[in-house]
Amino acid sequence: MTMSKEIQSSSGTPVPFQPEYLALPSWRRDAVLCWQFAKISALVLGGGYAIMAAAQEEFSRKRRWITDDEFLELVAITQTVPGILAVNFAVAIGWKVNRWRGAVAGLLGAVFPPLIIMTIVAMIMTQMRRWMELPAVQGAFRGLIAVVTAMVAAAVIKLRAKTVRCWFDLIVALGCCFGLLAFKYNPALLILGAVLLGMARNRLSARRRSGS
Amino acid sequence: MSLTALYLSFFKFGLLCFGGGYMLIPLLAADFVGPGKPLTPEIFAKLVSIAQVTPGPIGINTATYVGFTQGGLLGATLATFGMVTPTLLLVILASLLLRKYAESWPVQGFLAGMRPASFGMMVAAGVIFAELSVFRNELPWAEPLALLRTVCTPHPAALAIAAVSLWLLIKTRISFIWMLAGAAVVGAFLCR
Repeated sequence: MTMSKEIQSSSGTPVPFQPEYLALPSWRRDAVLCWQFAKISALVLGGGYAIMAAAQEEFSRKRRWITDDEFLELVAITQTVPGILAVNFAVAIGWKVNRWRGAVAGLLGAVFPPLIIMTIVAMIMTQMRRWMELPAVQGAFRGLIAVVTAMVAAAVIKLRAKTVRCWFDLIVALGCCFGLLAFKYNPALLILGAVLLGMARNRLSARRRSGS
Repeated sequence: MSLTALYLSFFKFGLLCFGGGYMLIPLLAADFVGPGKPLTPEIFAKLVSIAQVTPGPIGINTATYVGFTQGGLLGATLATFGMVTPTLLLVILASLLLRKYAESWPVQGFLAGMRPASFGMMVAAGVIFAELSVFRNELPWAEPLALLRTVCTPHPAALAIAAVSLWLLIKTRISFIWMLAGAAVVGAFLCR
């Protein structure tokens, strides 16, 4: 079901979309944001994109807080800004719905469950140090990392067509990859270099297009 | 490592981590893993696999766990909040400016550079994980003969697990959770 910014009223004249969070008091919006993102962060498996899909289901379809167009705008922001996709998205929609308080509510909701769960797991793991030295456990870890390798490989295969489309992309990608692995360059410098090259290239091709 | 240094390290990662949780791995490895640094590759491998199987985004889990190893509960909290603080500020900034500047050449240029860069970093993350599972040691890029030897003598069971998992991920819709469970069991017997 697509929701555009206007909906038809019974008389046929378009009515502007009324986001339903406007009816809620400020503290209530924060509470919903916080709790919903806590649920999403703790339960949704499959990475950032699954989390965004879950958020769309919750905030766009169930609660009618945002339209599909607004959702796509949030996705664009989420993908431009560095950081964890789930947290980016929580902050983005939090800001939209309730400015600073909403942004912080979303952030805390997304961050607290993994923080707590992971700390408990880490504490348990520290107690089990001798258990971790067992060959069977070492072997299990190797198997797990092998699966993670495959997961990254699958993501690389899926994204290659979209991300590496010309010689420029290929050079930047290879440069960053080998720069990091073989030459142990500082990743911050590699990223800075890539971004500067991207801007230079865009500037030059814009100039060329406008004929100057 | 002091707590302030920990917070600032993860703040830096939060600024650089484009492209999701896996991108954190090469960033983390560059600063935290290796001779003279807080974590060994073996500990790092265990840490990442535990972060992967624990619920929650892998990036946050990894940050929390590494923070814990460096400073207990406080370290875990500082690392996690260090990682997400740039997000808070930058998302709000982007929300305010995006409409106005989305098509401008600096933003488009930035993205034009950032996309392939984070792709390259993701490939690097894959290689790092391969070094910790499929291959028996870090790939020695400086010595071609040793490199060839390392690439040609992978750990057979781990390679099989990776290959089967990759095939399953691409061709089927089986949840990766099953693969992790299966791999842990198979690994316990075959990957000693």
